[in-house]
Amino acid sequence: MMIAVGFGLTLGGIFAISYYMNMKTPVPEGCESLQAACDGCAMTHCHKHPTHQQEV
Amino acid sequence: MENLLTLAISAILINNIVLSQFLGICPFLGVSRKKDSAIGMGLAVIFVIVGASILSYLLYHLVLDPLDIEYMNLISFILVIASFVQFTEMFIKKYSPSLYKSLGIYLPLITTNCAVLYVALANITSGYNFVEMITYSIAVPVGFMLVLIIFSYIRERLDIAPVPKAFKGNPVALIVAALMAIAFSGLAGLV
Repeated sequence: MMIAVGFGLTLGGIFAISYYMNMKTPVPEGCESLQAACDGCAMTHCHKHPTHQQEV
Repeated sequence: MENLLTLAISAILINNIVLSQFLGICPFLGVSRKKDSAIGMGLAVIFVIVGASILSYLLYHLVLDPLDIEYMNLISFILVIASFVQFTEMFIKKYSPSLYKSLGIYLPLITTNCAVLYVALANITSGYNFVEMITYSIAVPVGFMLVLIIFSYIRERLDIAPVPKAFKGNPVALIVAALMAIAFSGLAGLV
């Protein structure tokens, strides 16, 4: 049980670190305003959903 | 070799991830309006599924199974896939801006694609060895990309076709997807 919890926390930590490092990595020049050609699916909370783009 | 070929053809055509398994429908409908974005999305999905499947497979057989914590496979695979996508995006941002411009925007979208998790789990539940796992992990996203590209060509034609107003957009797209699923079901029994 403790092994499983520790393993889960380790993987969660790896994900958190990778997310943080990715966030800190600068976007290449010319790619600051890339848009996915996305029509929007049922996941309306996604920041790439067209409804959010329209609000901006 | 024949077994691997059968596995690949089955994964690409007969048990197609979108039209037979009904997985990955969100990106299938959302990113199939134009063929350029369909090709970009397809290539990104191939890369993510192959990479994530290898990592998940190794994680299961080298860590989860020896430690008798196989029940952690679902959570572990989700975290591995998410971390892999983060590292991939970071790597592409740093070392290949041109690749990031064409494919990078799709990587976060693929993280939540259920087809990625399905392939990682199926490799374990089906009891594939390493070579079979690689074959299956390449064949499934190739099938996804094939269907996505075909669908994008049809949708580009639908955009200029005289579709009734109530059916414009996703309704007629879903009807077309259903017809494609029926067409692909006719391939059953091929191998």
